Amino acid sequence: MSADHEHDTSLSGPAARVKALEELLAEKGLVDPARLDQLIETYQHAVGPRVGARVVAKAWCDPAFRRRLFADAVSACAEMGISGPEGGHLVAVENTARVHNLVVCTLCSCYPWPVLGLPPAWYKSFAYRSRAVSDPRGVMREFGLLIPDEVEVRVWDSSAEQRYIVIPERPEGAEALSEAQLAELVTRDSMIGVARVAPPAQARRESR
Amino acid sequence: MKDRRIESLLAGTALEGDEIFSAPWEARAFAMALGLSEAGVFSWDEFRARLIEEIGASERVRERDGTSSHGNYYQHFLRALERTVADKGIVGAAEVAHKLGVREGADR
Repeated sequence: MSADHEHDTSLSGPAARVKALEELLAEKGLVDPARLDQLIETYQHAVGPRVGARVVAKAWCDPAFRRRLFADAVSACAEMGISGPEGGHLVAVENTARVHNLVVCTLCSCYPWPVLGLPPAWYKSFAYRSRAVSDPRGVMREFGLLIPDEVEVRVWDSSAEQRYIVIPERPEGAEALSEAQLAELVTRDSMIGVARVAPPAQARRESR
Repeated sequence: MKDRRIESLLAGTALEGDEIFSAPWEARAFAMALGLSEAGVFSWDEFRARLIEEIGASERVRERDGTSSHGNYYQHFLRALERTVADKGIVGAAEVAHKLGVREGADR
């Protein structure tokens, strides 16, 4: 590729190609630009990890819901009004004192959209996709998460058939918090498995 | 050496935080793919199969050449979208090229 074709604004750059494609599809009546605006707004702001955080907090507070969630995450989320594309085969996996779960999509970027929104850039990176399976402890260490040797690490490879959400361990020192306050402690990374949920005082410090 | 490079890549990308799209065209391409699958023009699974092929092909090139080109996920995504609509006979590469050519003419 010659240097004068490498920047985005060039004729064959991605921005120009996307614009041309959208215009052609709109002329054919196959896409509605207003609907595209809506979809972008939805996935940038409305759908995201705050939804999954509510599921985690409910699982911590409501033992009956927790059982239903691990038995059938799709139905349990539907109870909370949570559904949408790429969520049809959701599985919840439980972190305990003996087992730590980590989620990856080795082939592309499969991710449970209705509960976590769209994946962050690092989830789609070659480095994460290739190393999460071969060296999960090393990858988690790079995120600052040390998993003791005696804890079993289970890596879940997402696919068109199965998407995963990690239900992290409830932190110590959060006994007095309401379900809504607990949800505020739950981070996106903890539901992918590259972080723990920090205790309340620490979470406040980290969010500053 | 190689491991060090990957570590720094991971460290760098982990700091990007909540940013989902790094340019407006990425959001547009995503919304087009989702909008077309919503409208039943193609299924998301059909699209995903091509996305996996595009990512896989770039990784074979990377392995062969020993290069590391990180962060072009949406380039693969766009190629997968272009191929899907072309294979479905909806918008061909020639139409896109023509549209780009017309715009170039208009800009001058």
